[in-house]
Amino acid sequence: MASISNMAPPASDVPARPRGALDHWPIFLLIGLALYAALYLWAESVVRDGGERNRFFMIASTAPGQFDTVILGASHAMPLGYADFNDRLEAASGGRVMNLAIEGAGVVPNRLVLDYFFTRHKTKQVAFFVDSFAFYSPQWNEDRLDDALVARAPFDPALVEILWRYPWARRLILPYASGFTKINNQRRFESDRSEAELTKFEKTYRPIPQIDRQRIAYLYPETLSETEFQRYLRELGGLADLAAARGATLLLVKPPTPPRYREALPDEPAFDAAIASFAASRGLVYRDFSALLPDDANYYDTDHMNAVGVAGFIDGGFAALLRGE
Amino acid sequence: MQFNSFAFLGFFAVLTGLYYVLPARWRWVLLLVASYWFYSQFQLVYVLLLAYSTLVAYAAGLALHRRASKAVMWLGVGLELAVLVLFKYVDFLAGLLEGAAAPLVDAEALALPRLGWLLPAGLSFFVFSTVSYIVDVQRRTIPAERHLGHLALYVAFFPKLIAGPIERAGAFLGQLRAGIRFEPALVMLGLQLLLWGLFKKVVIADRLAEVVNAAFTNPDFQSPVALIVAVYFYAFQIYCDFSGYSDMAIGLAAILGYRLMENFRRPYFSRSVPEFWAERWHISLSRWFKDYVYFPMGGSRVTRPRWYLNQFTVFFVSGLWHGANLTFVIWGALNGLYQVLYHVLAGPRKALGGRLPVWLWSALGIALTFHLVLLSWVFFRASSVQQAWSILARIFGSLGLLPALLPAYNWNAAFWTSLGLIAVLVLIELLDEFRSLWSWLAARPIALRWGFYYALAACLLLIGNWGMTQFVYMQF
Repeated sequence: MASISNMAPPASDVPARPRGALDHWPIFLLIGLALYAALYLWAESVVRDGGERNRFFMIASTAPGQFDTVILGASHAMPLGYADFNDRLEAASGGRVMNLAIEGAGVVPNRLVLDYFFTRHKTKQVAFFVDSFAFYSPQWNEDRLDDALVARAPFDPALVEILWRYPWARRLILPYASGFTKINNQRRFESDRSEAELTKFEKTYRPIPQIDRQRIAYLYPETLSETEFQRYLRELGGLADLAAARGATLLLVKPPTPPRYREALPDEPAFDAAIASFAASRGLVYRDFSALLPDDANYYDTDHMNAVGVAGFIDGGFAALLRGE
Repeated sequence: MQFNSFAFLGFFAVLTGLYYVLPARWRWVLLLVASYWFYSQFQLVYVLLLAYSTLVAYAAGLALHRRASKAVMWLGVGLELAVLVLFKYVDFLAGLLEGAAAPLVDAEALALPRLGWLLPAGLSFFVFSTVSYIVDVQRRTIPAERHLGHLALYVAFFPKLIAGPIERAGAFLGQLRAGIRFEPALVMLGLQLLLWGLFKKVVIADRLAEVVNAAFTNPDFQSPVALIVAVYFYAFQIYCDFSGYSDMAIGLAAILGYRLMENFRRPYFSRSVPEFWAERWHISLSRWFKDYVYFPMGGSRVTRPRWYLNQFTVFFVSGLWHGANLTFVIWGALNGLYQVLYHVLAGPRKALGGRLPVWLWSALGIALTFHLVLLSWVFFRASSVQQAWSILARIFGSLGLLPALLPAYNWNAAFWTSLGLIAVLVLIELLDEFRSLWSWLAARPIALRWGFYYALAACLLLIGNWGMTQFVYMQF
């Protein structure tokens, strides 16, 4: 007898005419497609009702308009959007700000996000937070755009077009356009705020050298590749060109980090010099705030600003920079 | 490219379309090309191993067909197993030798060279297929295959290539020679098995894996309750992972018109460890060991102590087959010990069984078998023998404290979802134990049948964990 986990049915066990979906497969398929469409609509409504911080959601759900600053970068730029700090930054800088930084994202994914931003909005300037780790590996660039990033992105044909424009992002088109990333999102009912914002942002870090080393080992490849660095520097040039083409100025910002952490980073002075040289060659503003907040009380972990740190950063020169001072 | 990836499902859909459009006599060519392409997606260069294994079997088969010769058979088997030894056991043996000689010789002076080669996916499975082919030809159970392409397809047939079932050449080549036709009923059964296998892998196994992996990654930082939960969940994870793979493999083959042998039959309803291994778990491997290791050693037609030794040896070797690691050796030895004890205790067992109602005796047998197997899974899953001992010590050492520890466990949604899925699985398998689910379903109204398929598909979409792609048994 053919059973559920016991296949190998002798020929006599397989009925001559199956009583199954194959008899009426077009109807079976049509009903299946209708059910899928219902799931799609439901998943889309969950995204629209529950979205908050997903960058594609923020861009799509905000009424088209003019911004003064778009913040891009990786997790070091994200705390500027935690809690009510985006409002505080807007008040301090005197302009509308949208924070589109993505955890662990280098230039490549940031460029895609900016491209999508420009399909609906405008901005006067783009503040890109430069993090050296993101210039050495595809892990933080081409490989960084995964299904989870579009799991809360409302359907928008413009985003499909943008994903198609970047060859490394094309693999996302099918899961995104088919709605699978939303239907299958296991965290559909949870907040899309980062864990850091929800649980750590108000805390203060007590340094542990071993954790610092682990963090750096996680972020940086064993050997730094000059070829990769030059490639991502060219991508940064592409991002600058994209901003310029849409009438926006690119500001390069190096975020504050604790001295003990910064000093342990591999070849950081050479990176700083290369970025400064790049900015000078393209006539871009580059501001290095890395030494602004030396005290560990400004960080919630090895290298991310907490609420105290973000307040100090805004008042310590970042708001002034956005004001053009 | 894994069965549970969209890339594979797309590949298979296109392949199936082309397959049935092609004239029947050319279909094997398409399947052979597709199988080699499928294997090349894991590691291109290892396609050469597949070809090597096929050519050795082909040459040995032809030579044995002309004249049966144990020397030729052993040469063929040796050449096949050499690849397995080279890739799987050389480094392990070097480590064992170094460890054994460490008290006598300076460690640096002894440092044996390591190959450090990446283990080819499914190596043990296709080597066992070719070994069985060579031995069967020598035994005159089957004729030698003169068609190199057909033999190559038997070895490389992609549904069974990576993790079995370890199909016998006679059954497979017979179907190939007879010609494959489009059989709607077989295709339907294949689709059902594919759907059910995907459900077991993506919805159950990979959800359980999250809980299990978290506990086994850092067991020293887990509470005893978390370890107990992980050990129980692992029993169902590995079952759903491996039997899910087998269901998919058998289903994919059926869609292409091939019947592969069964590999699992609701193993956790076994009433004894011998029943578990001989009739219900990884059946194709158990039968392989029975035919090519156990019987040649004399099987049960020997003195009683030798019989016990034969049984123990089979499981010991089976443990080694699973992996070059002491954890697998202990796992195999433990199961060998269960087998031997089962027969040693036959007298008291029968006496006790005769005094209890049949249903109670069966229930006790199922519970005891499940827990004995569960114990052995700890060694199978642990990364080292020390870790396995540590987990067992912490579990058994805290049994008395469980009432106090239970409230502190994180009884979160992931736990309850996992438990619910296990309950669904057990219920369905219980039904299947009495009557084949598909037969039962076939007699139901269309709304119920289709509703079942749509429900499985909805679970795959809504709660399936599609991010975990690796099958546990691929590593063997």
